[in-house]
Amino acid sequence: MRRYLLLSLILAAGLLLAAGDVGGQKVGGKLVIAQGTDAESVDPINFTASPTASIMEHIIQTLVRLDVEEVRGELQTTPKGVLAESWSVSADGKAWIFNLRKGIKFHDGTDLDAGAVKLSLERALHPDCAAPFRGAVLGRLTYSPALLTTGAVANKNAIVWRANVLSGPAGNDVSVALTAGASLGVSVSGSAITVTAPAGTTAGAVIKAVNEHAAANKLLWATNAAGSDGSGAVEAVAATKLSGFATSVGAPDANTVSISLASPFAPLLQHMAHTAAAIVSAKRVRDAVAAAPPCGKGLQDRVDGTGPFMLKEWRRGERMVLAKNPNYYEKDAAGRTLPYLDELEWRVIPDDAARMIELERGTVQVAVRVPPLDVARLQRDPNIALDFTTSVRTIYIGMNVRDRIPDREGGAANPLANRLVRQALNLCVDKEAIVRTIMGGQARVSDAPIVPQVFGYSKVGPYPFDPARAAALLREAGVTLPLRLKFHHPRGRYVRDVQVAQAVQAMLGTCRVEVELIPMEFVSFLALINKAPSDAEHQLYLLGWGTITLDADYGLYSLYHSSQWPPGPFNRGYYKNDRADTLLQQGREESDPAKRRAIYADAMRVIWDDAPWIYSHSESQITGIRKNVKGADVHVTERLILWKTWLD
Amino acid sequence: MTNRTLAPLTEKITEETPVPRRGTPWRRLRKSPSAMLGLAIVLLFMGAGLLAEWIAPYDPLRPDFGRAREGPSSDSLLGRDELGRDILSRIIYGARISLWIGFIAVAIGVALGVPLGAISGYYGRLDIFVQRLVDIMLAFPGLLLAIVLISILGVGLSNVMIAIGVASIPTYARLVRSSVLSLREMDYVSAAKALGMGDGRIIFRHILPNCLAPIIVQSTLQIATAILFAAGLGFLGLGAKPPMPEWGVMLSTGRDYLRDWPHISTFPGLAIMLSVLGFNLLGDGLRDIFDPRLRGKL
Repeated sequence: MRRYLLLSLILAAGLLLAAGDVGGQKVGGKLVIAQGTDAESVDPINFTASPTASIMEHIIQTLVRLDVEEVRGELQTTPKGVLAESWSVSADGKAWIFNLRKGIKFHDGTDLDAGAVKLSLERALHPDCAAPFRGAVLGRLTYSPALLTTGAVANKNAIVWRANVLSGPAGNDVSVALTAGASLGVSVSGSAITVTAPAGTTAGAVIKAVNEHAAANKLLWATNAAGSDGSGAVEAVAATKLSGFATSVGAPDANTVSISLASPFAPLLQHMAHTAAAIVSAKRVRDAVAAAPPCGKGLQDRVDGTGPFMLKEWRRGERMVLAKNPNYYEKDAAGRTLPYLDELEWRVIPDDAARMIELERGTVQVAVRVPPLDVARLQRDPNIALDFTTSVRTIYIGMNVRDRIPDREGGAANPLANRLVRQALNLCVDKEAIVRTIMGGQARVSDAPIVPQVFGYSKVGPYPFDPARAAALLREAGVTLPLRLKFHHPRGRYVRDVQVAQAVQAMLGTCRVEVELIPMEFVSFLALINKAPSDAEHQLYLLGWGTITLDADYGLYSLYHSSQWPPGPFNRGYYKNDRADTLLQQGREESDPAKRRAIYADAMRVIWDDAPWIYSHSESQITGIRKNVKGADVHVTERLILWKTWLD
Repeated sequence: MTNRTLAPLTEKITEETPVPRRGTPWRRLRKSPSAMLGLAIVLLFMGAGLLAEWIAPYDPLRPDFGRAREGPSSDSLLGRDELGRDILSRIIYGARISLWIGFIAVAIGVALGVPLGAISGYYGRLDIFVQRLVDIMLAFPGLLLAIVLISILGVGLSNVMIAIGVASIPTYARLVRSSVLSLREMDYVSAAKALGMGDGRIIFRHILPNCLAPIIVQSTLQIATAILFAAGLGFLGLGAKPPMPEWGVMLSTGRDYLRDWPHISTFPGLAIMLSVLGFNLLGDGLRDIFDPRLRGKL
């Protein structure tokens, strides 16, 4: 003990010497944060979980971010500009304009411009990239395969497009050689596109043919067609528009981004604040896409953003180290450059007890997900402050509701396809006991798929704890008891996740439902449940969902709408109910708040009765922070915000 | 030691032989208090395992959330675990699992290791191949070898038995080989060969019965190792699975509560320690009876 004391004194002295004191805030030093899970990826189109986003938001940034405050029990959000300095929306609510902040550089030294924003968003929208949040976050933006939109006939023998080429032919201009032929045909070889066309073919027909070829061969040609008209010496100029914008995202000039929607969508800003809509360096994306069109390769390991920290080192499953971005643009109130810290180290410590011991010893300064039963002990520790922040996370046990579960013998009947069985499982789980015993009272029994602080919430439950009725329902369903089910669950992702799973197993056991627990490391667990229905072998799975836009659309659509089946999106039990589908779609399109509330209340009643999940509880966020760490912020969306943090 | 010069050397050796070689093994065992203690512990756990249904006060799987993490009391002698299950009942049922793993694993080790050692020792030409194979297996620490096997076979109780059994093969192969090497040079073996007896008959009728003593001793000690390995694998999540009341699993789930509710993992830990101690003491006692020369070698 004494040796550690001496060591920490020496370290502290060293830190003090190294750190230059600037007013109250001290510059320099390294902050170590313990999370239960590693990041899945650092690519905004290739992640699903909050712990990943918590790290990513220090590297890559979005156009806007949300400031949250609680008003009469509901959380209200105020969008604040990050990469966007200002924005405006047309009177009909369909056309959005974002003006970018000037002078921002990516970590690789390139400038932030509208082209980079457009490219990042279009990559997230590309259907082949199957970004998990494509539907949930960017679902209102459209993507059409008409990739080249305008062209100019340079002369009788060639058409020249001005376009940013992501893959396929390199260079800025796409020139198409026209040769006479019997029928319209397109071939691409290196940078040359050759079109054979019969006499009299219009430019429009040629453009269409080239676009179709590009779409069919997955050549992603971004559509910076602005200024394409009038390039080169021209005999006849015939600019042709095929279908308006290829995507909803446009870049009228270097500092302006436009987003056009088919119908108004009120929470667009909330969605643009989501990490899945973060902006990455266009140079790096182009290089990666050139290596593996259309989505790019290697971006999940390394990404260049505009954030206050840069990715320095990542040992998967162990730690990720971020180094200060010396060119970061944001300043504090006194005009000093941010961030204060030199380095952030995110360590992966899945075991709750081990994470808390490291926090108490001071080898980590911030630890997320403090187990509720440890709260009393940690509160007695003079060096540790506990942060209690509301969470919008619902913990549930999803059920695969498909008729058959594939196995080696060609598929077995799945009892969970029967609604009565699913309701019985809900009745058999004593949610109160989980909240009281496992969560130490620091949780709330779920009475709806979303939490009360989210817009659109209404109480539709909970399912009472009623083993007798559960037994009756199982009898009525005609299943043979004991019913045997597989239950996959993550270790170290959610508060007391292993204990919750074991408690649910024990409770179901009393209803003669024998559950085999399969604990998994979180990232491989996500891969297992992210499969097309024909390959999905999971039955029960423990997951949580944070409604981080604080709007019911985000909390319901991607989890229950039948268009959101994996791979990619989040309806991982393959739930489908036409009535729910219709209501969820209406909720997205309706703009009157009162009507939306009514629609979501209806939708949740339909869903609740179908019981596609075992509804358990909603968490609260408890974060342990050593008292020498100042200015660390815990966001309601389970993100740590550490660029204004310093070590005292 | 100071009287060394007073007695002739030959007499001294017979006097120093720790357990006199007379009487039945049982009578000799009774004279060793540590072996008797070991036997008592082993019988206690075996009794608990066999009679679990009748002596366990509660259902080992049934949770009682109202009593979660309760300390020891007259109603629940060893307290309740994190889901309110009775720890004593779980330890009693756990004895069955642990002993079962121990016996099956040892049976697998004996069934495969003994013939391998016998062949290796008897046929000089095969020796070099078999022993290099054994060397490779010995190069891995036993638990690591078991973990490798589990990762190939998959997690589950039967695979734990197989993995631990296989991991003990090299020990038996070495042990039997060394005995066979000396036994095959015995006159009675030469005599059997001279009579035209086949190799198989010589090995099974004349050599292996004479290796029995070290095998029995080793097996007793090996059960202790197997229990320890099984608990280790259970602790790592590679062995028995919740809600099975396996001691290693109980130790592992209780670890999260160690600081505030230490009884949840202390008692399963004590059960592991006691059972391993029991088999070790018994094994040591048996070794002293059957083969005093092996003292310090096993």
